[in-house]
Amino acid sequence: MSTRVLPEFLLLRPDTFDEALSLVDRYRDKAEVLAGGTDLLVNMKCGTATPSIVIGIGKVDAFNRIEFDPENGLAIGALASIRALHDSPDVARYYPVLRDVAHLFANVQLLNMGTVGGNICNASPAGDFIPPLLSQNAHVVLGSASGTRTLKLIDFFVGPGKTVRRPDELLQTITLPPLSTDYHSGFVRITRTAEDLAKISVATVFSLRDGNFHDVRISFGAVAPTVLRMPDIEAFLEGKPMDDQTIGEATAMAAERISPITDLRSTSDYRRKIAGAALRQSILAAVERSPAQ
Amino acid sequence: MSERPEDRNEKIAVRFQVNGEPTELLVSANETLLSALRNQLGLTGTKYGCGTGDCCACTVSVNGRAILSCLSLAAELEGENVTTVEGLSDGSKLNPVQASFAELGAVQCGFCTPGMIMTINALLAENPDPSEQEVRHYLRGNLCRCTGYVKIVDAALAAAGTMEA
Ligand SMILES: Cc1cc2nc3c(=O)[nH]c(=O)nc-3n(C[C@H](O)[C@H](O)[C@H](O)COP(=O)(O)OP(=O)(O)OC[C@H]3O[C@@H](n4cnc5c(N)ncnc54)[C@H](O)[C@@H]3O)c2cc1C
Ligand code: FES
Ligand code: FES
Repeated sequence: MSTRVLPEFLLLRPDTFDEALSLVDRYRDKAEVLAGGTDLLVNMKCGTATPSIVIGIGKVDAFNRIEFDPENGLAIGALASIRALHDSPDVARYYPVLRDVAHLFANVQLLNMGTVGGNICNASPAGDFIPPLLSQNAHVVLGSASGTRTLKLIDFFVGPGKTVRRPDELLQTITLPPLSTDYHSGFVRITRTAEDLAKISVATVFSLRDGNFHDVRISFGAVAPTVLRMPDIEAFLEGKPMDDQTIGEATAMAAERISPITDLRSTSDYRRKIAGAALRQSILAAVERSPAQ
Repeated sequence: MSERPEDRNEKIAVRFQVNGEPTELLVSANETLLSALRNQLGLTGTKYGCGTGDCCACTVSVNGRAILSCLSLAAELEGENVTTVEGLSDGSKLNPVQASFAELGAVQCGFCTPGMIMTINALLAENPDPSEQEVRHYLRGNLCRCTGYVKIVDAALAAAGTMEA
């Protein structure tokens, strides 16, 4: 392994979406798709990805957009950079928790290079965009030479680094339904240094009706083979008053509902111990953020 | 577009701007921008620290944005505008960030310095009057093993006062 030199490969750079689809269809398992490259090129240097062909989709303009309209919500093109998301006024106003994630992202350089699509396709249980997207009921649109299909994001992941994307498919768009501006949302990631992947992360979205929790969505990252929603805790909170006692009972449930591993970033034990505290912080961060005007 | 796997070693012609100069290079698919700058163009100001995105010593600017040259393919830069630390000064006249690094002693061994300076330049282009916290947040990925960062942050803040808008 050398982190100085990349192994040899054939680089193909399609100009259009159709060309990109026909290339992934032709080469399938032999090829890897290159977006920002911040996961793929590291994996190639470390020998954990060994494609003989790399399909660089950077020139495909159709992928590079972020669009919002109040009726359909947000559409994030697979190649939209984390920087574009960070700078989007629509994201800041209507999906502020995505702006939070972009703001905290590894470092400025990787923020400029990396894409939201790459973060999702990489399917790390610690991928920072996954919890907030799950908590906002995101869908993914996958394209192939034979057409497109739309899935719930939660059904996209099957394990660490594994998704239901077929080798002849490209991620095309990530869509988020409109979120009424009276919703609260918060994101917390616990890390050793700013650049590290999360030991644990939590994204919480809910609204408050007369001081009671409503439509609560909680997602935990880095505590299981895939990012998890927490249906039991969500159901527990529904209709309960937003106070210390309720939050305390909800956070006590967290440790039992996760199956964290011990890896180089943290231990299983520690992750269980901090799960409740991370949930509490994300709820409090959400409460503190006044809903968008 | 060549598509035969036996063409893997075929060189790719890239035309781009480097420090304002139109430049044409023949690169291999697996050649990083860092390698093209250092080994083909002799621009050794840009440093190789880790190769994996963890140190930011290899930071250069592409179209005004700070990026990591160790994780960029040279072949993907067709038509882009690349600036390295060599492109900042005007002859022997240092740019404001370089000048304040020299003045305030923000350099010890100097290995992180080009990456720091490129990152701070990008910051000041975006935000000409950053707070100390904003400087620290923007530099969160740039590692320095010598200075303890205090003088680097001071130099960034001092340069902010003197940058032309
Ligand atoms: C030092 C360092 C720190 C990092 N810190 C963080 C962090 O704090 N949080 C975090 O979440 N991540 C972090 N990452 C990981 C990485 O930067 C992100 O996952 C990023 O979003 C990946 O985007 P990319 O465009 O660079 O992906 P790429 O590397 O281009 O692609 C990633 C994977 O997705 C596939 N892919 C990409 N686009 C498509 C598509 N349209 N269709 C099908 N497949 C596709 C690729 O084939 C590849 O397998 C870090 C990485 C490094 C090197
Ligand atoms: S050499 Fe590029 S980030 Fe360390
Ligand atoms: S001055 Fe030596 S690494 Fe920063």
